[in-house]
Parts: sequence; C-alpha cells; structure tokens
Amino acid sequence: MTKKLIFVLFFLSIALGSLAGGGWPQPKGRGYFKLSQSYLLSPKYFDGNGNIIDLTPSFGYFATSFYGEYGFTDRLTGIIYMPFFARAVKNELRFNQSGINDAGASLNSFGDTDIAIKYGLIVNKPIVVSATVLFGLPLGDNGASNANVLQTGDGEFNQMLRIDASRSFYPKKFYVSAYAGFNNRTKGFSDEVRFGAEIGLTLKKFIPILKVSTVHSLFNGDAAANQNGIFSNNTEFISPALELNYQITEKVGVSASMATALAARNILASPNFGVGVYLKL
Amino acid sequence: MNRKIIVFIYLVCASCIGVDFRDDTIRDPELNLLSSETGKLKIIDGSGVTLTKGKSGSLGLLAGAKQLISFEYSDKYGVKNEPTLSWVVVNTSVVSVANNEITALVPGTTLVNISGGDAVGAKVSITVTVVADAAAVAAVSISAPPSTTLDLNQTVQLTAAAKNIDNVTLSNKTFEWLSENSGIVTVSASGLVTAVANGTAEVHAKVDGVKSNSIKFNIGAAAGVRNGTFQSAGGYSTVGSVTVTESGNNLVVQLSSNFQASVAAGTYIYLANSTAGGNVKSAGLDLGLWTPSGTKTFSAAAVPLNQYKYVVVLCRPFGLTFGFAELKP
Repeated sequence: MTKKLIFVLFFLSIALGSLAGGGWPQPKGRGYFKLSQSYLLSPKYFDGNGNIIDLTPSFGYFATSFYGEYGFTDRLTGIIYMPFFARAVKNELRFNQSGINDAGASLNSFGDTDIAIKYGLIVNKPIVVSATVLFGLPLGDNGASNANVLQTGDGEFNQMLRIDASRSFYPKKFYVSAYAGFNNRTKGFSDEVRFGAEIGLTLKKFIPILKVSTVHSLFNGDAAANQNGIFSNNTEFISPALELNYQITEKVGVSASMATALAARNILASPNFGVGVYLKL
Repeated sequence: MNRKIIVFIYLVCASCIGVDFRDDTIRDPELNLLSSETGKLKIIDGSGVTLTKGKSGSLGLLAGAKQLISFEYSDKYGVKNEPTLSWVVVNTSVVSVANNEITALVPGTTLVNISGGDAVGAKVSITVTVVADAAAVAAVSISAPPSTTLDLNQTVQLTAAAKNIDNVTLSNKTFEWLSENSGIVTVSASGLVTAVANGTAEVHAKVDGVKSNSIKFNIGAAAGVRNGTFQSAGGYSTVGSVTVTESGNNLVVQLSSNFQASVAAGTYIYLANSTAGGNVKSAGLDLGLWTPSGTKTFSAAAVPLNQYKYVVVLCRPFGLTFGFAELKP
C-alpha cells in the first residue's frame, strides 16, 4: 500500500524534476535542490478492483525528503530523491458505544530512495528531449515482520527508463512537458508503464503548475504471494496535481502541492499534500 | 531558540498517532443465563453440567426456597449492561418471580421464559422443578460420548442420573427415554440410541415427570455441517472452500486443502454476518491468524451452527476483506 504513497512522492519528485528541467537537463554546474515534507492520511482506500472502500482505521504516510538535480555536463544531470525520514502510521480506532480500542501503530525508517541520470538527447531546440535512467533503491522497510502492514518501502529494486519532452513558448510565459516511462520491478512485482504531462506558468514570482500523472500496471507479477506484497503491487492511478511555487529570491523559493487520484487501484483514496523549500544554483 | 521550537514541533507531529472514532456495528442483542452462585442445585445446561453461560438451563428448588438468577446482556452495540427483563412463568402456581428472584411455591415443574432489552431474539429459559423434600427427584441429566454425529445404523449408549435437591444421586429410579424425532433416531428403554435416517434429532429422559437435558444427534455427513465456497473480494484473491461442523457446543471450521488467499501480515479468518471489512472487524468472531503454511483448522467455543452466515478472510489491520464464503447446509 505505501508503495503507492512512495509512488505519489516519486511523482512529486518527478514533477519537481519537470520544474527544474522536464526535458531540459541542468546546465553544467547548476542545480536544483529541495527539502520537502509530504502528508497523506486517509480513511478510504482504492481496492484492487478500483472501488473506494472504508478503512478501519485510517492509514497515513509522511516523508521528509531531499530532492536534488545537478548538472555534471550540459547534457548529463544527476538526480536523487531521498526520503530520509519516512513514517507509516495506523491510527488508533475507538468504538463509540463499546469503548473497544484497536491500538494505533507506526513505523519510522529511511524510505525507498531513487537515484537517476538524465541525459539530454535533443537540446537547444524548441522541443527538447531527454532520457532518464532511474534506480529505485529499497532502503525503506517493507514491513515483512510487521503485523500492522506498515511499510516505508516495497523491498524491491526497480529500474525505470523514462523519456521527457518539453517545450517553452517564450516569450510567452508558459511551458508544457510530457513524459513516458517503463518501470521494471523485481521480486515478483508487476512492471509498470507511466505517462504524464504538465503545464506551467510564470506569473512574476508565482509559478503554478498543473500536472497529470498515470501509472499502469502490466499485472505480470505475483508479489501478492509474498509477505505484504499485496498492497504494493499492481498499483495504478490517474492523478491530477497542482503545485504552487513562489520565488522568494532569484535562488530561493517555496512550494505547496496537492495530488489526488481520479481512479486508482491499491492506493489510499485521499489527497497527498506537500510543502517544501527549494534552492536553485 | 526558534530553531529548537521548530524541531520540537516537528518531532511532536512526527511521533503522534491519530485517533479514529467509529460507531460499533449493529448486531443482535444477546441475553445469557449465568451460573447461579447459591441454591441447592445450580442451573445445569443442555449438556447436563453446571451452566456457566447459556440460553437455557434447569433448576431444582425446595418448596419455599428462593433463587436469584444472574444474566449477561449485550445490547445491539455489543455493550454489556443491565437490561430491563420481562418474565413469563408458564405455571404460576409452581413459582413466582420478583426482582430477578424465583420463589418456589408448590411441588411441580414449570418453564420460565425471560426476554431482555430491546430485542425480540434476546431470550432465555429455565425449567424449574420444585420438590417437597429430599426424597423427590429435583434434576435429571443425561450424557453421551463426545461425538454425537452418527452414521446410519450406528448405536450409542446414553447414561442418566437423577438427583435430589441436595445434589445427591438417587438410585433405583426408572428412566423413560424419548426421541424427539423417532424417524431419525430411536432410543431403547435402556438408553441405547440407534441412527435410523439422515437428519437431526434430540433425545431426552424423564424421571417422575422431571425432564432431563436434551442431546442433539446429527445423522449422516450432511447433518450438523455447513459448507461454503470462497469468492474473492476487492480485487484480491481467495480460492478454496470451507466446512463448518458442529461438535457438541463448538464449531470446527476446516479450510479445504486447496485454500489460498492473498497474503498480508495480519490476515485472519472470521465468522461474520457481513462481508464488509469494518463490520467483520467489529462484530465478527475472530478465529485466528491465517498464514499459507499455518493451520487450516479453526474452532469456536459455544457457537451455534447457524449463528454466522459467512466465513471471511480479513486483513485485520486495514479492515479489508480479501474473500468470503457463504455458509449453506
């Protein structure tokens, strides 16, 4: 289940990548770094059939993360998304009439971390294209020994190839980006195809970005047979998101975001909120 | 200083766990008799032993004696409290009732029905035998071997005892044995039960007009058994079947050898009257943790065969139903 959250967080990180680059790699010696806090707590859940059902009790996932992009060359950019504090929570449940309590629980750990290399295939053209190879490191806790099904990672090492294309309409102050990716997952988890698009505006110091991200499972894995794999496999969603950025200075800004799912499988059915502060080099 | 405050607030927020409040699932209120602490003879249950908790029992009293009756009542939310009881004495010349206390008037036998709370189904009954002295039979009990599921033509010998008001066994008493459905089982004058057709039937005995507890016999493979085939729920996987067998007052829930379900830590087998995960979690009967390499046999004590409609595979931490089987005869 929390893999979905991880996906959402990754989605946010990808969105940040689009903000900093999208199809554009970072110029040599330049970078984009962000410290973020995400928040998701939900009493509802998209089950394996895509129906929204009540959870008893609510489950949540919170992550304090670092995201960074740095240009090694004008075409080659290194990327890292590192949730250095990840927390999965099951709320305490109290029944009103009987007073019966179902104790809450939490799991705190380092989270699954993504490292990636982006290479600019087409640069200095109206439409720029880049390719990214991403490795998902299972540094989180997959909850294999956790009776409360709390997870801060899925326990599998995945590799994703992604193509981004972007176009700026300068001097008009907006841009569009789109991407497609294939995520190869291990340990019996189903592989995934991902698509997304975004449009961003620059209104003086205010930069709103509207995004849509999708994840489609190929349903070719049987991780459900593994401990706790049931909630982190075959995750799917169509997720719109809104991110609002405010440029405080030329280099420093703050952002707030909200992502939700219009349709999904195996994810929590509540918005994911995030706030952060970023630095551009 | 400000930095310390921010760090402190962050740590507090990061370490807290929220609380969800939820109404208990509505269920049938339940009324049970509890063991009596005083009196010459304690209430005995349907198996002829001292009742600890149950729906019916028998009680012997000396004429003029009083007996306070104790109950346990759970309301529609499963909350135990004191109900307002309604008493009906079938033969009011034998006993009277006031303030949950039975007063023995004259020798005889009567049925006392008690209902409680706001539920039609929350009923219990006591068969009260009032005697004049220690020479009279105050209680009769019969017993059988552990298994009361018989094959056709199989026989089983029952034993019986008659006791006076001092709980002393009376000898040289003649027992009258009765089958409540002689088309299913017959019982001889010596208490030998013979299974003659498939089905369910009860047997009891009488001495001097005092009726014993009844013993239920299930004849044939289909009697006392309910079966179900699992179907998946919520996009998760559950396959196989289940057999629920009555064994005395207990149930044995046997998952088939090919039973498999989606695996998550905290996957439990429940008996329930709903398949909605939250309702199962709050009002179902937890039979135990299931793992692919673990047991496929579960048991439930003092549960009637028809009390629950479903066997549910539940991811208990989430309250998420992986699959269920509807039980049918």
